[in-house]
Amino acid sequence: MKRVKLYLVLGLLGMIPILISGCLGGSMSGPQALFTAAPDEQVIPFTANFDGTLSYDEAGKIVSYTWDFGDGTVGHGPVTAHVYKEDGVYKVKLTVVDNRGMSSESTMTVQALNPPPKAKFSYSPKSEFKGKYIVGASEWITFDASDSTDDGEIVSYNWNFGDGHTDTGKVVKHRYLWPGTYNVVLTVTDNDGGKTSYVQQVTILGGPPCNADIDENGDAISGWTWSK
Amino acid sequence: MMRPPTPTPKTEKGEMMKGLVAVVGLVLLLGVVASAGGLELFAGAGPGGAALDDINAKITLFNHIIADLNETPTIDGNVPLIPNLGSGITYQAGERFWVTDSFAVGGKLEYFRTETSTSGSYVESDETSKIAIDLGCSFIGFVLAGQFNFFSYGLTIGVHGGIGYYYSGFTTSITFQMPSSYPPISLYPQEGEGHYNTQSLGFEAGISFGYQLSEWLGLTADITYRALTAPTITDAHGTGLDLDGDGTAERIDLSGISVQFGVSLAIQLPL
Repeated sequence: MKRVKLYLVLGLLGMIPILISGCLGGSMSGPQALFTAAPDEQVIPFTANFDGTLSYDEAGKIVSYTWDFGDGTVGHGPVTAHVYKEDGVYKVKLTVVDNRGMSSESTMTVQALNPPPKAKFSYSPKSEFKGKYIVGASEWITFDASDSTDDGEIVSYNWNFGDGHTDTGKVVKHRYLWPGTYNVVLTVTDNDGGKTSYVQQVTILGGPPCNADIDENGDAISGWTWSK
Repeated sequence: MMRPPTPTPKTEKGEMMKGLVAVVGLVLLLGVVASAGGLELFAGAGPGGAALDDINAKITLFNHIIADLNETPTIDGNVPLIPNLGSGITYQAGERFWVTDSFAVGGKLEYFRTETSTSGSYVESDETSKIAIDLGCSFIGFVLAGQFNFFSYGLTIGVHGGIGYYYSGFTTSITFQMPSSYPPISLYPQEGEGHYNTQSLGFEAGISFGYQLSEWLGLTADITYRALTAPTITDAHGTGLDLDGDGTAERIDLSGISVQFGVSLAIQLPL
């Protein structure tokens, strides 16, 4: 009799795995939207390629793919492309719907970058000497950044003359008191905050500046020395 | 300068301690009451499961990405898919007092943990991308339960049910370096390590089997269904668990079945 009871216990215990497998059965799952974007960051204008074929549905079949490109336009299909012409940050959304009417969304950010401005300047006067341009010391030089361009508008021009002096403006004047070669840096900023710098060397020839003593009336030099 | 403690964790800790003290006190009280009659101590362990639907949905998502990386011809390497999270071992120990020959009340401590992981790497030109995902989920519960035996003929068969207070935890350790040639993807495993916790009430019910080997020693087997969900699980900063970075916190559903095999020790303590 005891053996019968033991078999009964073992029989009941044998039902346990069946119960577990039945109760832990997976719940009804819907589709999952998933996509790639290439590129997801680029200077405008550019074409972004979107691939939603990674989306899946464990218990059904995806029957529609709808894209919201974030700029007011939409697209359809598992694979698509879109041209971004205006700079900005766009939230791209893919919505997939399966044959049971269940849906899923996935989003991703695409950054359409502002093209930076092009910086360029010229200066005058200058003379050609042994294959390169030179300017005399203490001579006033006009720096002109009118050749700089942008798809929008350049809102600031910043100059660094390489001798410790700076200035702002599209056209500026500056003179060097000491001979040497100076790196002049022009940095332009456009209306979207894009910045570009342009460097050009300016060669200054001539003697060092002269420190002169001028008399009380200001009409005669009473003495002078060369600075070192 | 010392930063003052934030009030939320302190409050939660206080509530946790209150709950713990209350449950342990009740269990001890039952033990005292049991000294007037039949006291039974029991302990056991066995396989258990937890649904964890949200988490397993994310694991399925990660596996789709891993499978796609495995199949990308320009990328060398094969990372094993992540097994679903949910299976583990449940441990329990407690005591019950037989108010009548067929009805008992008592309390028990229950612990369950489940883990899953994968690791590997992808190689592309001179770039190596490391993949390592470790996820773990556990709970410890303090359960007040009753049991009614409706069949007793050597073998006893009964039903049991109870209410418990559960402390649940979830740990993540994720390294997911996407090969640079793979295009940016809308969802992917969020890298980093995390420790998330929550507390909640749960219920359980099931069938109990017992077989007395001697007057004081018996074998037990329980099949128990546990209803336990933790809608929000957060880390120390109050941030919810978001495995795939979709901005939605994952829900932890620890409901499931456990099977316990154990021994019971009957103690008769006449007053």
